[in-house]
Amino acid sequence: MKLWKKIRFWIAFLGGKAFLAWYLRTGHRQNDRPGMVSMRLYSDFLQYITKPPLTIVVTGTNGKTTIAAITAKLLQAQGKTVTYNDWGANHHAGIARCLLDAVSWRNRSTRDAAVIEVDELISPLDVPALRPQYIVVSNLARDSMLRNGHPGYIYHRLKAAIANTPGATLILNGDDPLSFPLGQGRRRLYFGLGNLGYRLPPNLACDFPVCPRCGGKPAYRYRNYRHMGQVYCPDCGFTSPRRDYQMTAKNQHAMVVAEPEGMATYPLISPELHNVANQMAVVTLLREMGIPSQMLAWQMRLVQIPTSRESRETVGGIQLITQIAKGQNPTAVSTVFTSLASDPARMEIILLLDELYPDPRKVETVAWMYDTDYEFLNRDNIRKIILAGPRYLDHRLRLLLAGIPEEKLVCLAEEKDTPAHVDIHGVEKIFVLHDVNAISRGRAVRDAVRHRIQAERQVRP
Amino acid sequence: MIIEALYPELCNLYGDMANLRYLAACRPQAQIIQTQFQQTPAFCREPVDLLYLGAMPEDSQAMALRRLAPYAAALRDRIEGGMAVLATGNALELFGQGIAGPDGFLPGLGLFPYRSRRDMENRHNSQFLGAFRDMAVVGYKSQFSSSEIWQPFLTVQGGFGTDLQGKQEGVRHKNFFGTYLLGPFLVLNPPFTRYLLELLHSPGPLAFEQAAMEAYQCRLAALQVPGLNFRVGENG
Repeated sequence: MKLWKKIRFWIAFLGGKAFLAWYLRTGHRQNDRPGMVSMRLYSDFLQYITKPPLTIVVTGTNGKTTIAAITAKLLQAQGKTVTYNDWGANHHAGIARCLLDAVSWRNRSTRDAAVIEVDELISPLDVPALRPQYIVVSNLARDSMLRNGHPGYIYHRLKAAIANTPGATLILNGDDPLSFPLGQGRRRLYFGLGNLGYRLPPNLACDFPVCPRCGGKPAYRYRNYRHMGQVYCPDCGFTSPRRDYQMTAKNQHAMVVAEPEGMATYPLISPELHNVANQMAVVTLLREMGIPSQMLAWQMRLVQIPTSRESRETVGGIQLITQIAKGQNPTAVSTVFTSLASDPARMEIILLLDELYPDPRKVETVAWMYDTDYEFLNRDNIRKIILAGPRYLDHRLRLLLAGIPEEKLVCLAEEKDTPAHVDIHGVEKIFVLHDVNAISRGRAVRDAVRHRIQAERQVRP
Repeated sequence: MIIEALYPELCNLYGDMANLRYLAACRPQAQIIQTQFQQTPAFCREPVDLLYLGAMPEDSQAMALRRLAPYAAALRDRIEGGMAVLATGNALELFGQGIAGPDGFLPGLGLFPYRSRRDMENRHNSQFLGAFRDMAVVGYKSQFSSSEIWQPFLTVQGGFGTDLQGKQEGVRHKNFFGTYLLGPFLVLNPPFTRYLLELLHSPGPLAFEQAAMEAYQCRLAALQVPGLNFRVGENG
């Protein structure tokens, strides 16, 4: 390291550390600004800050936060001290902030492990600098087109990131034909789900329409959701890899996993299928790190999906559920809609899917709505859909085109007005589906709905 | 009325197939042909009123061009004969001379004289406000590439042109309409959809016309705010 680089690094490091100390003292625990200071002062900061002895990178389109958070909690349960960025701080500044918290003022590691969620778009820049022992790729799918373009573009970004991180073992989703070809020639472990026997309605948008090798039409031996399943090309032999860790059966509470050393049973952290896949990524990683399956199963009982992603409670006999459904990300929203479509409960749904930015330039498109399977919501047991946000007129048109009767729709400009339109009579579940940037707004709506139920059913808070 | 969508499984990157679904909702009697990637296009064997091609991943442009190249002459004949074509997003690049990029030059179908250029390191995102005849046209752009100006489809009132610099957007030749505006272009622009259907000799109301017009008017008003920066997203 040249002298001028050393000087710049130490200025950036000490500046960031001082800023972090002040922020922690003033209660700003989940704030990226200290990392932003360090990155602004020295763009190669991540290269030179000391990493813990164990560094795990989690990247991919959907599920990063859940995988990173569960992994970190389980490592903590193993007695390790862990730094992680589970509040969505997956860009340069958030990663730098996370690592600043894991070193002493002399840049010596003070933690046993770092579990770093890395945005897939910036992965070529940050992943090699982190020099991880493990890279977990959750999956690839279409996401915000303004940010990520399309999955093929992101594949090339991840490919470059992995190529420049030669020491890392890859944990890949064997069900995802978009990401399982990554890391050829490298040590790879695959996780996946077995055939759950689902009869899935076709999605509007398919991210794996043609075989990448020959242009033929791919076929599935089975498909569990979206393009996830066991795929093959009848024309050229392109096929899903053999899973090292495969969920073979599940019920609402537990799953059975076929592992290299035999069968193991784990409690389910969430019954939602996409979260089962996320949990399989964690199982694969931690089993590969040598944690015995029985110990892992025991510790998984104590772990929950981050509340920023999902919350469930029962109020006055009604299940009140919040789930993240990333607006602008059609696959994430469609996955949630798929799950709702398989739920026979009588329900009402509140949709808060618009991103709200104080900066008017930060506008996303509405194109994603037309890749999203709103058609799945056209079911008799879904009694009402209450949607709100600045693009409520676009949502209304989209839902009408999905065939949903107009009398089932309540379309509002203001999100805060939604709870007043919930009809709690005769419903078993109320879902509040909110954008990733609407976590606190979603909670506020949920709380208002809870108060209404408590008031109308005379239930004590 | 026969409407053919070419390679809908591939050319459906940003909600583009909503255009087809909207036309089908507007005109339930229309025959919709969805030509899969390994099939021969219908316009080669029968008259088609409207051919639709949506945006696709850059890697897939080469595959689509390989599939379409044998039919380039037939396509030229149909376009010169008055067949309507709507190409959204980077689909319009296929009809030009070719696409220059970091991996070399990908020859196009050669139907029109413009050339395109791809830069995978720089993504352009913007909102758009333009005009076609007396109609305001709204939409979005999100692209790695740009093309030379040739016989523009739209006049830019806010946002960026085909070359990302000038005030002319898209390609118009006879009944060929190509535009970098992507996704559900027809859903977002009910006045143009009505015009297109009249061009196809199918005048009449649109599906959910009132709801579509309300959403269109709301977007139009937002784009007419003085001083609006049309560049959006991460690079805005």
